[in-house]
Amino acid sequence: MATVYHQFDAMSAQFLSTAFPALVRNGTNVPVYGLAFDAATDEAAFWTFRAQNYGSGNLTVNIDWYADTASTNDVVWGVQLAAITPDADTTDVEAKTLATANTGTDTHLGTTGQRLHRAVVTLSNLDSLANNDNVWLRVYRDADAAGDTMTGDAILVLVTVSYSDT
Amino acid sequence: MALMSAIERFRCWAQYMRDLPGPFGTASKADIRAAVDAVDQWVEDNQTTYNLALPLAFRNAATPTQKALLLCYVVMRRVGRLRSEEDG
Repeated sequence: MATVYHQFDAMSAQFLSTAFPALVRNGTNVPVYGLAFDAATDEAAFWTFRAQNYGSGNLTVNIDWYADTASTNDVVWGVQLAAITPDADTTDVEAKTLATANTGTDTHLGTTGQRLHRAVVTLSNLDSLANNDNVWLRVYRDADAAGDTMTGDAILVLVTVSYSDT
Repeated sequence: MALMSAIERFRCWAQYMRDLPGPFGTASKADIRAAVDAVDQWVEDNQTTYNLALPLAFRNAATPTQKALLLCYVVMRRVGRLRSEEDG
């Protein structure tokens, strides 16, 4: 039994034509590319991958992020996926819909505003995910959720998806 | 000038946070939204007082929009957010 990991950075994100985060490059000594998610309006980024060696169970999604200006309060992250089995599913890929989102709340730990945080979202709405499916992963900041209280942008730098191969 | 609608207040709040993202210390988004509502109400409640503070000639000649923008200009200048051509 092993854990399979997929990592997605800001540069490889895909977007719809509206409500997407800005791609930013920050950093003084190292380049810090990120996706700046607005504090007021929901914005989303997408990544695609092949669920190689997927065995069973939920997906664990780690979202590494930092605050642009804030140093307190909470961010609510949402994750959802759409899975298609090539050569088996007859679904129109351009009309495919996403499964219901799962969300997780992460609290700014203070001390330094732009410190790196890791939010964890357990993705249990799997859209009948099967081994070797093509997967579209949608990550968004649920900015209009009552629990999302942090001011300013939340800048996402890395998404890691993991699952069991058995 | 009337009080802003809920959607207008939302958009004011959203753009304020984008233009002036902070930091705001321990204040939450909800705290900032409450401040937007309070300022809107304060403006509503103090229009008469503000109008009476204006010199008579300007008060009688200027439109409500001109008077409101004058207040904005004065406050913006006071907080260093308004540059004029004379500043070079």
